[in-house]
Amino acid sequence: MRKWIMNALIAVAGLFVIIQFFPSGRPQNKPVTGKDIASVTEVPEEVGNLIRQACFDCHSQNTRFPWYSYVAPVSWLVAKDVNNGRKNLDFSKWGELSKKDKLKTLDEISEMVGEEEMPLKIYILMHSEANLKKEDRDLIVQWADETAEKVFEE
Amino acid sequence: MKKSKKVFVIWLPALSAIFILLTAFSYFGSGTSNTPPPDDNLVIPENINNIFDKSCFGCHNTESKNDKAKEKFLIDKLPGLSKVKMVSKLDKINEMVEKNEMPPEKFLAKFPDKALTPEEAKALREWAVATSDLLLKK
Repeated sequence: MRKWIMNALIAVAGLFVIIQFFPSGRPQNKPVTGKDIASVTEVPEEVGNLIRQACFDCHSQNTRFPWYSYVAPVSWLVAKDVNNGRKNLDFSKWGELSKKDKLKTLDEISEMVGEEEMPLKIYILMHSEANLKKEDRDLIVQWADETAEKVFEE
Repeated sequence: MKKSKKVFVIWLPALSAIFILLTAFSYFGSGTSNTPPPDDNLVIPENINNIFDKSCFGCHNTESKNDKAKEKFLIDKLPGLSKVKMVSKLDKINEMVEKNEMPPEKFLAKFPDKALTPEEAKALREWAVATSDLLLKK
């Protein structure tokens, strides 16, 4: 019986080592100068801090990769979330969006933050600073709605 | 004199009734009337309304039991939205249909007849884009 457990543990450890050789597809940070949200639009300091803390890891080119994001299988999850996140919204490339895409994205920010769909639960679990309070969410929602009005009038 | 008074008594209410009925018809039946819609009002054309009815309205209406669908988009509230929100929603419709995310696969597995035909998808997307373009130009 004990031998059986030993073998199982060795197998798991072996598997753990093997999966490290599979590339995670973790993206690089490639900042684009002059296109980030703060240089294109007005972002109050408080809102800026909130979105930097709670959103930028997946929705910008300023992703902080903690040590465990280099270890499979977590690296796979991180890679998937960051790639998906940037595809839907990249605050570092805000200036590249058309007027329509800006409006649509601001509406999504307002909705997803307001209705607690974002940040993702699994992300909040590992990053307590992304656990937005009600007031924080209200601030972001208000900023997104006001910015949409401004973009519309541009 | 007496005769004309009698005619007056009968015809006045009758004419008023016809007038009121006509006004009511033109007011509530605006979809078929020829009066152009007021500038800021979104009027959903009949063919688009039919597409909404068939494939979308079941979940995206105020009385729906599907809470997520309700939170995201209410067809019956669309005309009352601010221009900014309306543009966002119209572009979202275009995106969702383009990416085949709506109607959802699970829903279509249950109700295959609610799927959008390619023509319907095209009409819906073109309407959404054109309407949002128009709102942005104003």
